[in-house]
Amino acid sequence: MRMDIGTAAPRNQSDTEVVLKVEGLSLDFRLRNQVLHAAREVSFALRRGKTLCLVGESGSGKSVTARALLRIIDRNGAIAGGRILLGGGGSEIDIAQLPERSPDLLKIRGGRIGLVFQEPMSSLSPVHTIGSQIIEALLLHRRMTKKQARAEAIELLRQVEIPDPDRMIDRYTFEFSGGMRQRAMIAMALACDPDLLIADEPTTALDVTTQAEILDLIKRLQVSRGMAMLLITHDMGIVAEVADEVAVMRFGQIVESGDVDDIFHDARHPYTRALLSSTVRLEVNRRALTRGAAVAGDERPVLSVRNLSKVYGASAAWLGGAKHAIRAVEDVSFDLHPGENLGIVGESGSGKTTLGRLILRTVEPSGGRVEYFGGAAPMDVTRLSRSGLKAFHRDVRLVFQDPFSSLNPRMTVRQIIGEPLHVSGLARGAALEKRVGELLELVGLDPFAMERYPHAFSGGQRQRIGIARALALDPRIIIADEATAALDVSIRAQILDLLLDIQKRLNLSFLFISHDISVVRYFCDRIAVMHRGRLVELGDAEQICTAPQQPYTKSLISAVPNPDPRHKRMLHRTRFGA
Amino acid sequence: MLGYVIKRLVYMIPTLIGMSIIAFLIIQLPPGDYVTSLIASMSDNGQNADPAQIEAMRRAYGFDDPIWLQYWKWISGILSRGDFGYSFEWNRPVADLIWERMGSTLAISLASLLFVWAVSLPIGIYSAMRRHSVGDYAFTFLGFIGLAVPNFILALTLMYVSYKFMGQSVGGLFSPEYVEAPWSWDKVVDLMAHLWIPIVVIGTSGTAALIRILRANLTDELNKPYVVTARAKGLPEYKAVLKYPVRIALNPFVSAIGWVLPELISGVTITAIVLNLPTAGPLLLRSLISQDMYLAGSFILLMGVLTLAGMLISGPAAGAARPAHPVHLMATHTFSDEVETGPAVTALKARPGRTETAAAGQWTLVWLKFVRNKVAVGAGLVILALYLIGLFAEFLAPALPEASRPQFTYAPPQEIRLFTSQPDGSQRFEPHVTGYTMTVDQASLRRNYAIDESKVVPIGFFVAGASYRLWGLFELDVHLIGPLKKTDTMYLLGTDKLGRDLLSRLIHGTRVSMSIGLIGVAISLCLGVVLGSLSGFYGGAVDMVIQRLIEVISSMPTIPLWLGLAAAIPLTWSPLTVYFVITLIVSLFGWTGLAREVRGRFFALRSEDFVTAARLDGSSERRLIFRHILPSLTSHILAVVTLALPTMIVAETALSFLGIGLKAPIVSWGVLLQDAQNVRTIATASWLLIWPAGAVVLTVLAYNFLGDGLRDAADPYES
Repeated sequence: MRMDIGTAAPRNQSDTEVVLKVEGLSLDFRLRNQVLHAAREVSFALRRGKTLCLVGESGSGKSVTARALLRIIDRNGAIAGGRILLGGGGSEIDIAQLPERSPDLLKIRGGRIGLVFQEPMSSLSPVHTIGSQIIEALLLHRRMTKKQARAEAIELLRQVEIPDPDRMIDRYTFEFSGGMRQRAMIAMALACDPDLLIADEPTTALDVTTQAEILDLIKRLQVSRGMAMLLITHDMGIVAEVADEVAVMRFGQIVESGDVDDIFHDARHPYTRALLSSTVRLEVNRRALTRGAAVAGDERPVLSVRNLSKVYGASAAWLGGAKHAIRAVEDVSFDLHPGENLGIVGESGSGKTTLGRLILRTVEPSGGRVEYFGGAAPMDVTRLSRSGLKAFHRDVRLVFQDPFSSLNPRMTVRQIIGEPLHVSGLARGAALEKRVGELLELVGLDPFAMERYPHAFSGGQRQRIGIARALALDPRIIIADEATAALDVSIRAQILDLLLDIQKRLNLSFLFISHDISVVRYFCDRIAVMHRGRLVELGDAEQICTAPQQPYTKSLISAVPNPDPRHKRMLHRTRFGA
Repeated sequence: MLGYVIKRLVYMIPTLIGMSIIAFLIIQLPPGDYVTSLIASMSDNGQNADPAQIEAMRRAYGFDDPIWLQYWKWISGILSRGDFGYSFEWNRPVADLIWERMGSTLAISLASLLFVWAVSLPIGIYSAMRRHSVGDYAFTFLGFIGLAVPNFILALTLMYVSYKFMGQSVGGLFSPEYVEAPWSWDKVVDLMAHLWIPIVVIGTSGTAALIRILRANLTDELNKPYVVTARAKGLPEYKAVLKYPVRIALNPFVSAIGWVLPELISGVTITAIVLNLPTAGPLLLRSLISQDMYLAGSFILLMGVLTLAGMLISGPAAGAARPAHPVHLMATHTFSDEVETGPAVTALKARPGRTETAAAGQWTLVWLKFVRNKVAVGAGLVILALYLIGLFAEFLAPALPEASRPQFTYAPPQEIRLFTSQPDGSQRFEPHVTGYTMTVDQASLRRNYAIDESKVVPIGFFVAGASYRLWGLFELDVHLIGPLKKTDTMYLLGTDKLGRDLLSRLIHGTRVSMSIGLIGVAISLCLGVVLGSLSGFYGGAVDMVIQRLIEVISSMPTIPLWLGLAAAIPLTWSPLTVYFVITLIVSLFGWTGLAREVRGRFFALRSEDFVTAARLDGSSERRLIFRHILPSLTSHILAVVTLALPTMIVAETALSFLGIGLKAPIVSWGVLLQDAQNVRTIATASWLLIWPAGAVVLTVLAYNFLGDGLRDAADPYES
């Protein structure tokens, strides 16, 4: 069964108890010139043992709705209407009506509803130990002595699978890794056995494999404790793997909600369909369709990397003994052929970003060789002088990750795109303007945009400007360093299509660095998988994504959530022990 | 941690050496030495000095040795024997004199520091938690006043208040009857009664500054996710705030010792001079004027060491409490590309003609943001008005600043009345001031002035008065406002001890005081931007050298250094030369703040993506600095400069007030305040304090508001 907007048709799953019911919740925020209706008539119900996923893109109001359930919204926000009914045990409390400082509200927070946030680093206090924060939660809501609380905290850490909990309880936040911090947060949220767990994008800041572990853990804990769960996310893959029910939010309204299977295979609202299609689209290899004539493998590679390494901190400090060396990149070798898209995939700490910087020599390599064959004569990039490096940088360009910080806010678009032309002397004045206009058209923007400043454009448009800047000097190779990571799902595919389109017209190769496997699969011919600085596997895109050979690659691919609830993959993934 | 402390100590050594050299050089600056000034005072007394005796004295004191030898002897004496030299004036070893004074300097500084912390902590927390409440606005306003009023003016005012309204004896640490008495409870009470003024005066600006810092930091922390976590756990609000964010926001509190301490020591110096406290300040001033070089040099050196010690303590303390850097694993920004359909909003008020900001460059955006801050705009208009007053001073002043009338000394201000009553009972519109009747008090032979309604002195606009040359070029005699009859007098703000019109002198003083700030700041600007850019852009060895230089200069407490340099100005130089040298002195130590700010921003911007992009585009280093990085700085520099200006103005005022800055015939606000140096004058002729002090306070306040507004508007791209 499914519900559309506005109707509140009853469901026939009355055997599962309703823990929290939200009826017609509306939230208003007072800004300087206007009132923002962040949530409008939002209604849903959370059942014991079941998971409801609240999905939406940025600005949809999902986070703010979740916080409103605990009444922890910003000062300029207010509940404009509706009820939040917390049930269980016969009596019903309307959270929306409780006064701000009431002890009932304080008891509900943490005691009956637990909250897990997105970024565990900034969500945990940097100056207190993990243990003291968990113990504080215990002492607030449960009657126990300090000794009992400490024992209970150790037990909680064990339940969330933190190794060696007796020692870790006295460690500080920054001594934990990302995944472990999130586990600690979960322990803290569950400390007082709440009826409902709200998880606000709990895995967005984590690697794919860690994400799978955490979601696994949450699911198991939910089942064993019989909790209800509200999971907020923008990733449809997670929704398919984890949810029982789904509610799709857009601009503060729930546009569609229902069973997970109905939503994925029988979506009615156009927005839901658009969301699904941009996610599902990335499941195929688009590149194979646009490649046209097969790339001949016999040609000489345009870029050749041999045994490239980068070691940080190998020298001993003069006071305090030798420091441990960090091998960011270790002995990496591959070739890039003309007209080819090579994807470099890895989790955080794999060295993929460093690899890109080493090739461009914005970071100096510790060892190895990079040879470029696209110019008049072969260049050994690792030994180039300053002027030689300038010539190399004309042919090999970089597209950055963050569209906000990669464009100088104080320069017009014309100046930004024209900078490489101006500096290299290729075009000045009217010729420069003409060329900038051409480039803007190439990336799908209006040439009149060149008079404006970056702040007048959206994130996707700014990324297009960055791409135009990269194309200004007719390069042979473009290194895209997480070029789509900061964009919403719906425009990610647009940008990728744009790049493929441009590639058809110009003679370009791409080195595409990303952590997102589906994006890489969509875009690339071959994929190289990196793990802890080493190149673990290199092969055809389709082959890597469907039939990987190496154990690490297998664990990586299988941990990627599959946006099809009928074929859940993540919870049956292979684990990589390293 | 230990390594860090040792590193800091090692870095301190060149700073200390630099400081001692500076201290010694300053002492050597004035031409001549103790012997020559001794001869001068002896010949004043009619004595003649025997040349052979002079030679012997010279050799005995070592004045014939080359400078570096004298320095070496002094330093080695200090390091090996604790021998700071000999005070010629007091005929005692310097060490004796210093320790008793430095002890009380340190005690008062520390007491002020405790006062600063005790007051600013609760107020800062309250202000941050209850932002934009009535209490917050009240404290912010008081804070501004506290920052704006210079130490010595506050000291004078409080002295006056406590003398007039509390009948207390002022000056010194004890009332006359308790000075020699043994310790008793009454003596302690008396000490407290005298001590509160110095501590409040010295601590006020530090308190105001720390409250602002704490409020800003705590506000930042209160918005962070871990505070939300704490609240989501069910902690009540006050506990959630005190336990978590306050602990973090306290970091700058502790490291604030680094710059509060030099200010406190400076503050003690000048306040002690005004209040005649037995600390280092008054003795230092005296020794500078009489060129008692070892005493003066040792004082300056010790004050610098004290400051460095404070900074050394505060450094690791702040570092220990700093949390580790978070590592961002993946991008967490996600931006929606929806430009056509937007979120649901209800407009509260009609947008007044939305400006096309898409094509707006940096300066347009800065201006738009600045204009929204009405207070800052108002302050800007006030500053503009003051500069215009200074520009047209001769025209605006009713009389000449030097014109004195002995029969009108210490005359009170006259009121402007608009109507005169006619013999037939009606009122006629005739703007005028009422004249005086003067009586002489037979007992004290002092003149008393009473307002006499019968004497009517008509006034008007654009009257012909004493002739002058506007800007030294145009011969004119029209004044904006003045008595209709040329021979009448009009004293809207009263007169001084020579019967000179205070209003005219105040207006002329505006020209000098406001312009000193400008020139001084221009010099500081050049030095600060150039050195800060070099330091920030190149890093490495260049950075280290410049950093040490900045540290040496900024660790020295400013007031003693200013005193030293100003006292070194020969009396024979022309007033104009003195004027320029004073600006030079004042700006020599002001550039360090700007350099630090520029350096910090360079470091931050160097690693920005768009700078990397420009480098990959092929930009040369020069182009990177001038085209890409510097434009991001200019609005910040503007804000810092605007906030540095009032420091210059206050510095000149302070120096002139103490008698070692500008002197007659130049008129500045500081010179005017010289007349208000003792309590008795203020008690009988309070206008001599109120108006010049008011002008200074108004200017500093206006600059602070303007600078704050500029700083807020300086980065129009942050949300």
